[in-house]
Amino acid sequence: MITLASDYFATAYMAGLSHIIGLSIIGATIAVLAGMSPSFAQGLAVGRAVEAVGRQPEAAGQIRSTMLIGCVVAETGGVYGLAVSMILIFANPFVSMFVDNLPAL
Amino acid sequence: MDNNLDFNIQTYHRIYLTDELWISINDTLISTWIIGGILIIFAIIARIKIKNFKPVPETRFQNIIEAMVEGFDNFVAGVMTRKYAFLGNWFFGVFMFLVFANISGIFGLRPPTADFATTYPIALTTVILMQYMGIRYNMKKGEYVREFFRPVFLFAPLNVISEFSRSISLSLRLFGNMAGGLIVMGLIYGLFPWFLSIGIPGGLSIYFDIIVGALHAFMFVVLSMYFIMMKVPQED
Repeated sequence: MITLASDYFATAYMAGLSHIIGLSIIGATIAVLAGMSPSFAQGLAVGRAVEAVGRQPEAAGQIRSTMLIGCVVAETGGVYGLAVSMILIFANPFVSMFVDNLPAL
Repeated sequence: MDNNLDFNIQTYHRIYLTDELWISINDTLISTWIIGGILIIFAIIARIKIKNFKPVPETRFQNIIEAMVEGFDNFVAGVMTRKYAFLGNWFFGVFMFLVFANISGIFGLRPPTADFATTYPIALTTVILMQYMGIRYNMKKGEYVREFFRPVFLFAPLNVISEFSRSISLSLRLFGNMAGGLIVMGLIYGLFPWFLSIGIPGGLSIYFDIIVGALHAFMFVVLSMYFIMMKVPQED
């Protein structure tokens, strides 16, 4: 009877853990997709900057520094997504929550 | 290959203050000590050699030092005005530390900036400096306080939150870029077969460690300056 109960417990434990880890990986993949839109926006910004340099080559230095600051600020959203996915993969809070709150057998 | 794919921070030793509270001697701390030591030794050497400096530079060392200091001072005076250019002393230190920390990945260290515990305090000093400069220079008619009640007084809590969210966005940007580069480089070193790992990781390392590192150290400093310039009165 005791072995049966512990077997059942181990199976349920592994099922719950793999459930949490698998869904976390899917969530991390979706979170990293936030990098799409900043890349798109940076492409637009750089294209406009190239147009501006072509129109006014003497202002190239100022345009370049302004474009770089804009690009780096626009990148923040993508970096937030990357941070969320890294937390979900490397420092998953739900796994430790699951392990800490196991019911006593 | 297993060890290469572990991106977490390795802890080597723990100094227990009490049972619950400890100081970890880990990768980040050791890299920070090495980088800080290099910078301090460089500063001491420059301080000793400065006695032999001539009004017209003769040695290569003096030329390099003068170019660095003058270039950064002019750059700070361009972004901030001459009135606040004394902050260049602080930002030069931050910039040198961040540059050395970001490119330390090519010397086999784990970059200290790939740890949120390094970038957040540096960004927090920027926010504290913002508040200090605002109180010091913008308090004459109470503009510093009035800024928080714009556009109407109901926005005061949101304005306070937005002040501190600057530190989070500033530090998370640097941390995310450096940690992302670290993970991509680790995957490339760990997962490429031997015939692909002859020249390709070197080129990618130049991008992820040197270009991204230098760019984001520079951007950290520039954005800090812009944030501080928002809080002080502009003279023109």
